[in-house]
Amino acid sequence: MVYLLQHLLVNSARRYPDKEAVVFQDQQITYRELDRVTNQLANVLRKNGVRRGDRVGIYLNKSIPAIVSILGTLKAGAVYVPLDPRAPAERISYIMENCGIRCLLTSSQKMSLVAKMLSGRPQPERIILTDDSPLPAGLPLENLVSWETVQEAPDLLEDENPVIETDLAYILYTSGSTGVPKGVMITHLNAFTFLKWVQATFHITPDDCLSNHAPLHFDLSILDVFGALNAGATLVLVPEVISTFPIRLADWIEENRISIWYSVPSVLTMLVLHGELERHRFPALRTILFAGEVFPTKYLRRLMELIPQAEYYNLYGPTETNVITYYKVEPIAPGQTKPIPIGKACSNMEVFALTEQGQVVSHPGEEGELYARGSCVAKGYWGDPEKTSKHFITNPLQSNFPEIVYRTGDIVTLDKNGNYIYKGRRDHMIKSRGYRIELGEIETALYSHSGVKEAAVVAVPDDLIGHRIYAYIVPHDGNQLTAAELRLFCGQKLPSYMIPEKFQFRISLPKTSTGKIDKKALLASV
Amino acid sequence: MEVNALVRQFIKTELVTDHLYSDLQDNDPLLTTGIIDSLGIVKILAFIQEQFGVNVDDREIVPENFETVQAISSLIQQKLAGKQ
Repeated sequence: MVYLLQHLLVNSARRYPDKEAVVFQDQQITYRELDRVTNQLANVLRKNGVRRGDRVGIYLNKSIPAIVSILGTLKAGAVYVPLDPRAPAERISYIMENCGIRCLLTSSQKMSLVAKMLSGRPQPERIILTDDSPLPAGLPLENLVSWETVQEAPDLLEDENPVIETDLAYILYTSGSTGVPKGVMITHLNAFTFLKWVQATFHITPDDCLSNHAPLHFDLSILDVFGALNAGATLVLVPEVISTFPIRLADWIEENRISIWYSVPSVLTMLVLHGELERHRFPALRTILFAGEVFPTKYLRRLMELIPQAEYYNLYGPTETNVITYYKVEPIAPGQTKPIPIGKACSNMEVFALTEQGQVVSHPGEEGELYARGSCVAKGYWGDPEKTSKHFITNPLQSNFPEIVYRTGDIVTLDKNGNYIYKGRRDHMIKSRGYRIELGEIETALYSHSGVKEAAVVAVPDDLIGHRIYAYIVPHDGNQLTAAELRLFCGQKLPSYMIPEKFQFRISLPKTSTGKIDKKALLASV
Repeated sequence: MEVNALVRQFIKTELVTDHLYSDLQDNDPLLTTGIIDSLGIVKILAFIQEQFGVNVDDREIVPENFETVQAISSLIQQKLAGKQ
């Protein structure tokens, strides 16, 4: 029976043992080898005390060992927690402590950073290295397990783990409005519900090459990694430096014969503007998927002209549900500027929108907040029942049996074809380059600087990247704050995509009649 | 100020978010360290345009031209020389 994420690998390894499973730069690994080495890693994890439901942190740059770590963790029956390799140490330590990481998988090269990060904090019981490069000198080594140990471990899974589909598979941390990130708990069943729809909709075959552009701590990666494993296709990891340079990225897509591409729209916009796409034919590219933010219609239209043979899909859904609606893009008329719809519910998922009065939105033009229902809905936020109960609520539309639905916070309307259209947010969450950002988390970081008397962060709508983040600061009297200093300060607390692009200093901030900072006035002054 | 100093100054004040790199030198790597990533590249292109009045062509937006302060400065100097 196939009901856990790791079964997808085991199945494909049986059917396509010699096919390339993952490719990264000049390295590749076959399905047989991936199955074998993840068994070894799982055995080592089990031997070191990792049990069902334990959290295993993965602190690695995008690489084949990172994929091995994900699947080895799952095979051990544990929960993988991907840690952003670029996030500041303070944030990583917070996450590790928050979800109680029992075991950490990392690389020799990252060990100095890890040692610094963990000093004076609770230690994971074991740190397992996923490579055999030499270690930096002078590190405390007592809880280290070498890669050699993994390579010498038995390559058949030693015990069947008792995990079932409603157990957690992974926890993804996203920005939290109260100043710290929150961990979204996803079960095998949640991910499977999504992956079944993926396979039924995109018909991925062993001949497909799927790109993985999104970082592994970002939920777009679930489609890439497990969509490929499910079909026996090849997953090709996009090197980070390549994705910074549009022309190189365009060459890369063609050279690697990518057939299914998935990313945030801003990457595709960069390709349209600077990738010289007309020089390429992309003969293999058949499906282009995007999610995470609104794709500016004029650039999408241009992309469809430049790569005419591909099918285009707009996917929508928060981390708490993964994709729940989709829209197959139809030809766009020249001059059309209105955004394309987020579409209709994926199969085996239900969405509905409720007006402020609690009425179901059923006619074009009515607006309401979108809710999601089905086995795609996550279990909630790790260690935070209060926040969980605010967003994961009892279904207000039926009372025959207890059921939880997810409140997205997204405001939508309907078009005349029954497609949902995204209108905006109910709260202060914004998207920038597809990243979900709570402005409150940035403000909390700024307020923790001793020189900051008042701080307000606003999101300025932007065609290319969704939003640009500007910070307005009132320093304490006599404090000579500079933008560079605040940027460095934020760099210790926030990932780079959350750091304001501009810091503006003011003597005071505009206030509303109730004494709150008037963000509308600040936005108008940009 | 010379080109190198202006570029270094810009990167230090606008792009560096880690104290590890606050003493940036002209030949320190900018790409492998993530100082310039896909967010940073857009900022630095805008800076080159505004500060020096030169447009970087799409074909010049490649890692070789952005891997160090020195590489970026050479690109700018080359473009400035071409303008005269």
